Amino acid sequence: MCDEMPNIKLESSDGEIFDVDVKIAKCSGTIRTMLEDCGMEDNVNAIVPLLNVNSAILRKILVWADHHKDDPLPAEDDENKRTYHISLWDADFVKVDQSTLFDLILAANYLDIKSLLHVTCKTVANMMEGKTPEMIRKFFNIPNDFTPAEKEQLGAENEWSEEE
Amino acid sequence: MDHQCLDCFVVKLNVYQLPEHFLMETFQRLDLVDQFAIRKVCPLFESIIDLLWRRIEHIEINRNIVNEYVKKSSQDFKIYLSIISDRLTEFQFTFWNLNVTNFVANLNFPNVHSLDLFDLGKQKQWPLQSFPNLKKLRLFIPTIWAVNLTLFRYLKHLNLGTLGDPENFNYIRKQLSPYDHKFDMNCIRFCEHLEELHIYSTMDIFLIVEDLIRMTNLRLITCYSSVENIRSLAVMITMLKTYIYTFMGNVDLTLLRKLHNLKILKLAYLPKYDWNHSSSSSLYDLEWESMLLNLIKCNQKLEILHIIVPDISEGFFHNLIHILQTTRDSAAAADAAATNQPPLQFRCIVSDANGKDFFNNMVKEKKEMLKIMFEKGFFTQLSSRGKKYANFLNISRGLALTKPLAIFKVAKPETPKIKVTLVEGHGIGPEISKAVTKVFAAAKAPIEWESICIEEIKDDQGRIVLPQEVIESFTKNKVGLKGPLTNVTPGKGYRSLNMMLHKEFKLYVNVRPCKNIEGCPTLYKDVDIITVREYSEGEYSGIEHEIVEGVVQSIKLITKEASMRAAKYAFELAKKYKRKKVTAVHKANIMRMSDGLFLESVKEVSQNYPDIEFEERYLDTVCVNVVQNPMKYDVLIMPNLYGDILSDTCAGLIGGLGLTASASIGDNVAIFEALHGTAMDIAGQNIANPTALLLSAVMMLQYMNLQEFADKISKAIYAVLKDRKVRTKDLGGESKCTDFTKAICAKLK
Repeated sequence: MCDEMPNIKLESSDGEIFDVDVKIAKCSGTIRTMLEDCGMEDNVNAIVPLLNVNSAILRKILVWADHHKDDPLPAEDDENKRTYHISLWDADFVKVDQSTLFDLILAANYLDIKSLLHVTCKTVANMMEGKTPEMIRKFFNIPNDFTPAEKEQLGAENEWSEEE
Repeated sequence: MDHQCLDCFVVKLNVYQLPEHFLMETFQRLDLVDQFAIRKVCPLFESIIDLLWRRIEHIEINRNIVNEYVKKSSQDFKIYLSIISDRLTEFQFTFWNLNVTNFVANLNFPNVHSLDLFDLGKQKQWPLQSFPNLKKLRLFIPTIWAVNLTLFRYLKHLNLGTLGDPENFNYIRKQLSPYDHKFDMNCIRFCEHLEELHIYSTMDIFLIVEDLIRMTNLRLITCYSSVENIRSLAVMITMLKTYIYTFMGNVDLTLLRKLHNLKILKLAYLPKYDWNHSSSSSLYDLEWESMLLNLIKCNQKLEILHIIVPDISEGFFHNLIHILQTTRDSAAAADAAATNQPPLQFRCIVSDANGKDFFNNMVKEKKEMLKIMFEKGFFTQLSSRGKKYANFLNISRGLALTKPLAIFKVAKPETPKIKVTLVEGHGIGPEISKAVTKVFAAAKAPIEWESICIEEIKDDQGRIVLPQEVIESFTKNKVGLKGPLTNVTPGKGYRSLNMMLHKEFKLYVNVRPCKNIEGCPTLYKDVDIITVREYSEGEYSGIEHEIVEGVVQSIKLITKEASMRAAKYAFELAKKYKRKKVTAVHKANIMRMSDGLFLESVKEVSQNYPDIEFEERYLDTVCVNVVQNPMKYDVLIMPNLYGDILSDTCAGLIGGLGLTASASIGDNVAIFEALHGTAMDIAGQNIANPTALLLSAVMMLQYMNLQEFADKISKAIYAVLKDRKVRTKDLGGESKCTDFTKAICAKLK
């Protein structure tokens, strides 16, 4: 039944309309729920507005969805989060600048695409691994907005560590 | 680096603008050291990490954690530990250093219910007081066995030295023999909720076996001791024999025969063969086999038998089948519906099976009787005979060292039902007995009633005796509940049925708890006395004769032995129910020798119970005081005649025999009974008051250590009596006996 389904129209925040295979669109949990729960499956000409996703990001997301359209649905358990393996294609896909990566994350979050969230999550974690707090702040351009008192508390700690 | 910094300037969206749950998931993937760093980046990250840590319920501190985190960033680790301390439920230590113990000592872990300490460290002190609500404690470190268990009132599972591998075992053995370590066994008894106890040696539990029997929730004891303590094991087995239903170990089989309730038996039999010089002697031991067969014959409740032996003779299987046919098969044929005896599950591990083929053929024929698993995988067939035995020896050694030598599964709350003899009695007996069985069923008490009738019968010489069925039932079940009895043949020379029961089962003491019941007011308030009456001798020795016409003499017999055991019972009772004072009632100023001996005996026993106050009072003084100010007394211990009078007096203080429970107790049998008569005038009218028998039945549950059910049922009885809505005629009500019963059952639901 799914195979005979017509395409669906998705509208990005900047007004571009994407004609997408329903099967691909269903990678997104949000769209899937919309179609199944709101009875939109019958309405062929419906346009789904995606107000939080711009056309550039949506295009990229659709590439992801097309590549993963035949994947089984991810299991719900959190057991193997640490060992989650990133395939070469996926790793390549997320090799983008920070801004795009974060946009992708927000979009994946909004559209509820679990597999993409997992991969981006791992990517960000890899970026943080093995760095000092100062290096992390610099790398992600995070302002150090601890109060001076808090800073002092955090600064005192290293003197401790040599004690047996 | 440079172009990354350039990137920074064009970034529009920042990482801290990402959804919080995404960040949390990201941080969760990071190593603890990275989490330490993240926490210092900005306040937002700090709060997310804290949130993440607060979800942690289980932590294991091992060598890696100590080396990687505790040593390198000890302050961070301290913060980490303090944040997770609230939520943590399971804590496991396989390695630690002084830093860790200091951190733990300064924190409180209110929710940790399971704590394991593995490492054989040199540290003598460990901050166990930081874990106040432990339910499960496993200690694998002999050096800190000097643990004060009184800290842990909620402990359900205590493991002192489970031996992971033989190396540990040897270490512990070298460190301390079972007799000289500092752990105070006596403190185990403070853990009232204890369900499982794993301990190093049988010698240890031997010291406190009486306390263990009294621990109502305890259902499993495991020992790791070696064969040298077999003597203490023997004592334990005889003491625990009513409870044990699983036994594993290497022990004299004649001992095990005494365990009538044995269901599961696992045995390793390692005869002393010269393993290195393969002698021509066969590897099976006919004597041992016949002992095992005898055991199977005696312990008919056996369901699982698992043996590990070098070899078994062919004849063994012949005999086994024969025994099963004669003992189990015939019983099943006679009463196929009633006996739901499952087939014996027999599992056998041998190195060299002569009988194996025969055995397998046997199985095919006798499947319905014997469920058999035959394994030889344990000892792979090696070509060299010598090598094979060496292998066997290793396995046997391994078995002896690393597996517990004795496991006692104590069959308490989780037992299938315990059989209890029920004598409904005469007159109103059947009505009030029905009330008890109904209430017990409503409370789901694990009791199975074996109802028997007592009538007077005459033996072939014309003497009145108890029916054999009665004797058998009480002897087998050891506990019974009895309604009122009448004697059909009154008169000289006949002993009453009650007397016959007491003599037959040597019930040496009679106990009655007399406490005011709310809703049944009497002249007295706050009566709470337990009377303990010596029941076997004294004035009731039954030795009377006529010297010359018009002069008769009756002999009052007092023995030290009987006085001591009654006194001991009184003090044990006082200890069990946390009573403060025991009063000996006597007339030693007049009967210097007889009451004198009684008093001396009680005094002697009292010295073993320093926590309980002891006083002695003259009978007349007690009589005056008990009706003027009954609050003066707590537990009364007295010889037979005084006991007869005073225990009825005390019953009168709280509303009479219809409200008083009573128990007659001997070494082997205990009978709980209603004291009132058969009340033939109202029998069958459904108006009798079952309270006395019900309260006696509650006392029976307490005696059987089924405290939980005793509490439940007594609460329901007292609640109904307090309500005053439903009560029988004797208490001024209009309700029927069955209505009263229904009201109690309703409270139980």
